[in-house]
Amino acid sequence: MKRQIAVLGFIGLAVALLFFWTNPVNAENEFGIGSVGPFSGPYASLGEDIVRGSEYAVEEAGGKVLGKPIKLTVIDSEAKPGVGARKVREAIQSQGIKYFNNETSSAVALAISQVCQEEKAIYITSVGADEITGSKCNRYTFRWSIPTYGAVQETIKPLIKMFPDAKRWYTITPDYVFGHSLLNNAIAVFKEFGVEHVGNDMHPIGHTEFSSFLTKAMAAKADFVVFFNFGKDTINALKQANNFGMTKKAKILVAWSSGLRDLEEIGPEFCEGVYFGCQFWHTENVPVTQKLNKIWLTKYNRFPSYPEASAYIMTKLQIMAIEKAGTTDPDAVIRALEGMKYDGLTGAEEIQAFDHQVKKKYYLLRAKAKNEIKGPGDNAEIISTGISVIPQAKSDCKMQ
Amino acid sequence: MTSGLLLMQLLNGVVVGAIYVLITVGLTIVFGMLNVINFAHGAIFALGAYFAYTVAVMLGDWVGSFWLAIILAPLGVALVGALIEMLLLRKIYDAVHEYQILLTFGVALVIQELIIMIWGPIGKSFPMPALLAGVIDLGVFAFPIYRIFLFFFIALICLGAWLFIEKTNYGAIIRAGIDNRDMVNCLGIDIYKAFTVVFAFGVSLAALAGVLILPMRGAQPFMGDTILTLTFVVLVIGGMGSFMGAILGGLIVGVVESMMILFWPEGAMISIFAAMALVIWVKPRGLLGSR
Repeated sequence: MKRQIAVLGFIGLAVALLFFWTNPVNAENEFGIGSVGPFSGPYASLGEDIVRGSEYAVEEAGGKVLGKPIKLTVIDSEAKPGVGARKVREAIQSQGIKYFNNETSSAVALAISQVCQEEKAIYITSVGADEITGSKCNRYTFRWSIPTYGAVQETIKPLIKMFPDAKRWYTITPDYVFGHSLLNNAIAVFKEFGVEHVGNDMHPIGHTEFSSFLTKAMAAKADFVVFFNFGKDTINALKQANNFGMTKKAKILVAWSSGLRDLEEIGPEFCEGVYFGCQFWHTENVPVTQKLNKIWLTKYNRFPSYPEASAYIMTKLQIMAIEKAGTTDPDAVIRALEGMKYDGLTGAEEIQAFDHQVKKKYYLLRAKAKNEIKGPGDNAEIISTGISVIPQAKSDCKMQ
Repeated sequence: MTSGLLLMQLLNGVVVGAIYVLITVGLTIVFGMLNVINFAHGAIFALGAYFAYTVAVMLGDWVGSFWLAIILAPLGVALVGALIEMLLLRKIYDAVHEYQILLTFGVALVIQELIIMIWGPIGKSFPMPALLAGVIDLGVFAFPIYRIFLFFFIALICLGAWLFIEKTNYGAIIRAGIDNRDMVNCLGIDIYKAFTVVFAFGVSLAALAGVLILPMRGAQPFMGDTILTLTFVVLVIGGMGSFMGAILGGLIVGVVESMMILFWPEGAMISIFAAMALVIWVKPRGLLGSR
């Protein structure tokens, strides 16, 4: 009997210890921010970028907000909507975290956005799907990146104007929310300018063999082939497009790239002359970007990439808004974020109050040939920039 | 739809199929002889690509770097394979299949993580060898010279592997081992040595496929995952343990995938699995399988 009581006592003690152990954010003394991203599986490298960017934003703020030390918690979404939403809800309920940022998949971000609305926690993301600040917008969700609408406006439109002879456009689209969103916006632009959309192919996410799609695009005598895929899929598609000599027969656009990272991984041999749309490019001559360049060159001996830069600015925005509001109360911080103007990575940026979308530049880049590249980071030149967000009159967002 | 386009897709399918063939032949030889389903085959395919990348980068811009990589990377992987067989697989030949699956799956995870630790999570690119860069212009279509080379090179390798198994003394031991392992042992032949050789040979074929795919798709730590799924489909269609089955199955999967993209792109993958289901239904042992 005595022994049983002792055992029970030990179990009780262990449970109690475990409880204190896993309850690290002490609301009184610490302030928690959750950075969400894929930290395992094929997209794990994006997760690492997110951590580097978020960590530097905290470091830049002296590790504190309103005098409280900031505790950055990393949340692995495994790039799965269900997992991301569940882990964010756990972090809110068990650790009391009220501020979340990042994630790279539109589907996951939409799920997290919904959880944050229910739990009244603030979420800033950089995914593409228009819905985030469109039909599925909500009071607690903000977006830094230009949505797919703007990405199409700032890449396909200027290219149509630049190449009036390119009348036949072919699109290759990944079969999920993000891809569909880009495609629908592109079809509208093709109609508006009267260029012919000669074909589209849907491929599953993670597809590796693009030869058949490329052959179809060439058979359609396309002048321009647009890739709406992202990351590994784009890298494979571009390499094979080069193998098939497509770069000589048609022009190629990657409407939404992750910038320098993609360009470096693909290599100049494969992407010479290809057009890339991007949210961030390190040569932008504004103080915030130039400072980030300097930090990254000293810390990592290279220029910052888009996932790192976006993670940095989103974490920084949350810290800035809390300082401005003078409290960590989400409602007050939302009011501080709405309409906030600040010096960002692309120049003057502004958070629109009506849909919580950031107004910022989007870049159209042209990748340089190997012999044009003068040094690290000189992989592409900016050929056009602009700010395109969905105008309030056309927005599907009904803020609640 | 023009006949030219159909022909092009057929060509695409045959070449992609050839890559599936090369990987599956390695898998099927190992299964036939050792009776082990090697779940690390995909990870080893990735390892081959990374070995080749390292060799080619170390040799720099020298024209022969890719050609040396074609030889050295599979040899290096064969060595790794021999170690895996001698230190790990050998202990569980008599265990149930589940143990072998667990072990080889574990090896796959270890290799994947080692790749990330050594080469980093971001993929690597390697340019086309100068000799094979460029395309053959076929009017509207252009077909990469490299892919044509790939097809003939793989055909040659398969012929070599077939001759090795069918025409050499060592091949005879292997074939005898497939039929009756214990009898071969009783005849005074060290069957375990043969096992090591077969496993090393099987994985080196996967590694060779990794090397060959490097200029087309680059190297990524998880590149083996998708290919392994397809390899199993090929294996099931062709028949487990059958050399000719692997060749037939690989070409079928490549061509079906490529042709379906013409008619129903979203369903390209589904149709491959449908083809597999059909084969299982009609011939449960696969098209050319004997067990």
